[in-house]
Amino acid sequence: MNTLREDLKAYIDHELPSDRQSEIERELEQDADAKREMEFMKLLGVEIRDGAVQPAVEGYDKTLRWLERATKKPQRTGFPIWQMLVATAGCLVLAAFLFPVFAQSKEAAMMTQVRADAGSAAAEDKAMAPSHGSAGEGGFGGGSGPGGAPAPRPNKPSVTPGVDKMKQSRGSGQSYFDDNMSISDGAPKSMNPSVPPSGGPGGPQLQRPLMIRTGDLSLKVENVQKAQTEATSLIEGMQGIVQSTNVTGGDDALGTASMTLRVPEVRFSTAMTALKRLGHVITESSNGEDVTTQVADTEARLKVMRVEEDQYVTLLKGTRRIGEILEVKERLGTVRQEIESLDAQRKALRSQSSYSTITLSMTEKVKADKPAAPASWSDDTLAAAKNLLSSIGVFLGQAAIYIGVLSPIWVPLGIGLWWARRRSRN
Amino acid sequence: MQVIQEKIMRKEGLDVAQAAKDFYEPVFRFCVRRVGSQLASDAAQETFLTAHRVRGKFRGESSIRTWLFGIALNECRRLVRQKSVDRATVPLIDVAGGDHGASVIDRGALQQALAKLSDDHREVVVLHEIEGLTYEEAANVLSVPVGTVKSRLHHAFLQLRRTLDPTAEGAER
Repeated sequence: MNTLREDLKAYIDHELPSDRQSEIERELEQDADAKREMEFMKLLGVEIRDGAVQPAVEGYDKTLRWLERATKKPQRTGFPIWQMLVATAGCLVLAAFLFPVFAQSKEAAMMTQVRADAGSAAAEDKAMAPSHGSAGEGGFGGGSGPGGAPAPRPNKPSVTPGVDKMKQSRGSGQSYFDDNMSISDGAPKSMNPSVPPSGGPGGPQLQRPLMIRTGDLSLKVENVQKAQTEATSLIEGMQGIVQSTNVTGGDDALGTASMTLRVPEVRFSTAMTALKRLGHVITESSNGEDVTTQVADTEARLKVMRVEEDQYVTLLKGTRRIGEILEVKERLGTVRQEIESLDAQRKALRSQSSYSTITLSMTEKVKADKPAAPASWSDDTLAAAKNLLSSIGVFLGQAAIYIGVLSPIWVPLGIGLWWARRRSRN
Repeated sequence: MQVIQEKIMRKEGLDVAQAAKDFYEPVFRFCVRRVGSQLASDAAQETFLTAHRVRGKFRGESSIRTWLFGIALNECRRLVRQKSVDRATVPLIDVAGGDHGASVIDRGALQQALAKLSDDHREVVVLHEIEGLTYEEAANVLSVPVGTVKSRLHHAFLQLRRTLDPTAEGAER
């Protein structure tokens, strides 16, 4: 229960319930001090009300104008334009700062990829070295087994006379892998992922078709010399050969380079991909010709001719008459010529199929700082204006792309700012 | 008339422009007494702009004036924080102007006594004594119970009496 004095102010203000109001009234009749206090409070209240500062109103019209403007335009429910503009400007500044970083990292990534391609090719070679050796020694099916025991050479064709047997060995498709292999034969075959390791347990051995692959690549590069060096190191890293190089151009002219490159057939696609990263691709073409049948046919004919040669040699040994000897020698010479021809043909086909050829043409990009032909001031101005317009267009396009790509960052940021500002106002 | 108008506003949605025409003056004067004349127009303007933004939240449970005073109080508090206003220096009593002859209490002393009050006590004195709000309305504006308003007023007046009349008997307690 409040005391009289605690309720005195509320009594003066008629803020008490009626029964408490009457009760205090009665108490005041008996308490002169409390009554004096009440009178003082009343007086104080009056003095405060009467003496209160009554300032002249300011800002009324301005507030009304603001409100009318706010009332006329629809309630902003969503898009905070100013915040979006500020966020966009921020993103553009950020993009301007980050663009060189991105460009640099793109170039670095390209170079890393090129080096990685060359490195992985070298690593592949190291890893494949044992099977490479065995393939070189014993042909495709002649590698050592896991225990070091020599694996059996299946279907080794016997060099016995008779065309039927030759056809049989030709039909098995094995003979041309068993012959003396050129340096290129081993590595590509052993690296073929579709072929199981030689000497492995069981499973049919799939044979890679012999392909002559050629590629033509035309690039536009920043610096021809640099690109040529990179292409050379790239091809050498893949165990390839730079067959020819022709670089033209100097300080005043745009440089061009033409290179003929030979890479192991299995790395043809990798090499093409890696070379394309050296510049901007203008034209690209590749061609493949399956010469498996042609090689097999050549080798079969070669073997037949060798059998025939053996027969002539045997015949020559048993011949006594001069006329017959001359005739047999003449025939033997013809057969041997044909053998040489077939052998050369076979080697050429194998070489072409094991090493693909890439013709690389590189042209230098037009540099902005190349001295232009003398022109009049009006032409200069016109060209400068066009350049400026083009630059602005490019800048706006880039800005639009950056804004679009970076939208997951700035859209939530903008919404957050807008929301925070709205909340702080409320 | 005002009640009818408020009913119309509640039905059609609060017309803050109309509310500004009706209540700008009391809101402005309230702001003057809270933050001083320099910042009062800003505070009053922000009050009505905020009211316009949040007009959908007005449910009609209190009068428009009380609702506006509540917003104005928050705006004034925000300005006081931002501008570091010393509220004790804001004059509540017109010491310089007017006829003081009829005054029993010296207005300068009264102003000093009011300046010595705490913010809570001064707020409730302004709302009730100067702006003429009832205890309940003041409680709504301050978002405190009615009993708190009553208590604060009692203590504010007790302190004023102590300051103005130190020899008074009741002030001794």
